[in-house]
Amino acid sequence: MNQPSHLHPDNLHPDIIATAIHWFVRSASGTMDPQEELARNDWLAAHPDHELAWQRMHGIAGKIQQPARMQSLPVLHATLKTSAQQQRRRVLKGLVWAGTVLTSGWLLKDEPALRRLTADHSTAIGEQRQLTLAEGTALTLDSNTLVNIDYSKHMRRVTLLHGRVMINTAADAAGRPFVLVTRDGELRPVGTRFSVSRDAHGKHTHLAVSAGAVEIYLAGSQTPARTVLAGQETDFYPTHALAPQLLSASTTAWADGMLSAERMPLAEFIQELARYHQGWLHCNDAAGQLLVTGTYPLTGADASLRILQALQATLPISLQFRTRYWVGISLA
Amino acid sequence: MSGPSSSHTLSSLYQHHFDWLHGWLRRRLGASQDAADLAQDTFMRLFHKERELALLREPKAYLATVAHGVLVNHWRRQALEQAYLDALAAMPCPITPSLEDQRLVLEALEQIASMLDGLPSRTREIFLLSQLDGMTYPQIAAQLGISVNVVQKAMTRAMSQCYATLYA
Repeated sequence: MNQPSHLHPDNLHPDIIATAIHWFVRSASGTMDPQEELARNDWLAAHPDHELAWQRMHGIAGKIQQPARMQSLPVLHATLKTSAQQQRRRVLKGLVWAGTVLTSGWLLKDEPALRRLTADHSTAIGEQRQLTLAEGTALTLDSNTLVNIDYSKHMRRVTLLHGRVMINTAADAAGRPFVLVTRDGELRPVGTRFSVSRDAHGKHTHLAVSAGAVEIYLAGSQTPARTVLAGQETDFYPTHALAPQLLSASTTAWADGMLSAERMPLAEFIQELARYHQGWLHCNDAAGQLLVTGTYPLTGADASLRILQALQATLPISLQFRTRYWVGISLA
Repeated sequence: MSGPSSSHTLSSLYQHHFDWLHGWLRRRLGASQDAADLAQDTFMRLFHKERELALLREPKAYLATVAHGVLVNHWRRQALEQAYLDALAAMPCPITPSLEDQRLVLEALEQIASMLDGLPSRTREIFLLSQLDGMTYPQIAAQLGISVNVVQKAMTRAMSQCYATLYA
């Protein structure tokens, strides 16, 4: 196996990697029973790729254990812990300077990776996560999302820094109001389920209300600019809120782990898909006008690549992979 | 798409943008000594990327992105060194390892830190208790006052990130 690594950076199938991680995590538990061990060994023996993935798992474990041969564990733990905290502060300080060159696409994808460190809860690209807050309010974070949660004596405040979140509010025994904050303003819900999205470099916040009602307070304003009711969606800017429209079923499908489209222009669909894609998706104008209808599962590693392949099977498009992460889409 | 006439090579990038990048880094670092080294490191990273360079439309933005990665590594290394010396000094009976041993330990720690970068601190802690201390999940769960299920999920998340850092 002497393949040059830069030609095949990762030739293992994502399912194999996921299974290898599963078995590694189980094997490290200390609670594996003999039946599980047999199942693991069967899997290992079934294909040489399984064995390769398994070796990589042990390679990772070896790297973690390496310094323990030279240094006592308390020193290692303390070093890793303190340095992570220090670095976090450092990167944030560095970020203050970063404003000057953040003008091109090259950096747009990079910046959220840094800001993620500040928040209480975040997801990586392609990841979705559910959280339940102390009083029962449920949050579903979409891919590449950063929220900050700040519950005080008088207020339940969730700040969406970027990405998309679905919120199912619960009544608070202490009677504290719930408020969701974005750069463009504040949202005050009344017993609701609603979805809010804000791109890191966008100019507005999108709000979709599935149940109850949500009041929009524009940035710095004390009076509500609009009330959006169940079954409506709208966009708002720091200066104004657009008139609500009828909520489309596809707008909130993401919270069920689906990307859904009904006669949606491909360009728009790709923009949505880009949320889940690690890297760069570019659709040229001609292909962007094709219409997409369908529901695609967002779960699993490489979901975005699988969806692109599914699109290719139904639409007259061709995909150009400059690298695994940089994909161009044009008319076939 | 840019034609061959507008394509960039490593040497043309170096000639036209080294000073700019040096200044960019100096503004972030304060000390110019490190800035010159890191500017060199940034260009070193582009050695095997001739194909990507040929497609570049905004060389400065691209350089700044790569330099940013170099900068983050630099800060990580600095933070680790300081934290390591502090941890050694804080031990009840401080033993100072040889400089060579210190270098090896730091290198190993740097690799670990880069794999765990950005993970929540609780996830890091769980992963290290398992892989560094060899604790079982029930032991970790008891020590941290969490469920075994949470431990297992954290392990999966950390392991996935480590794999992605090394192989993706």
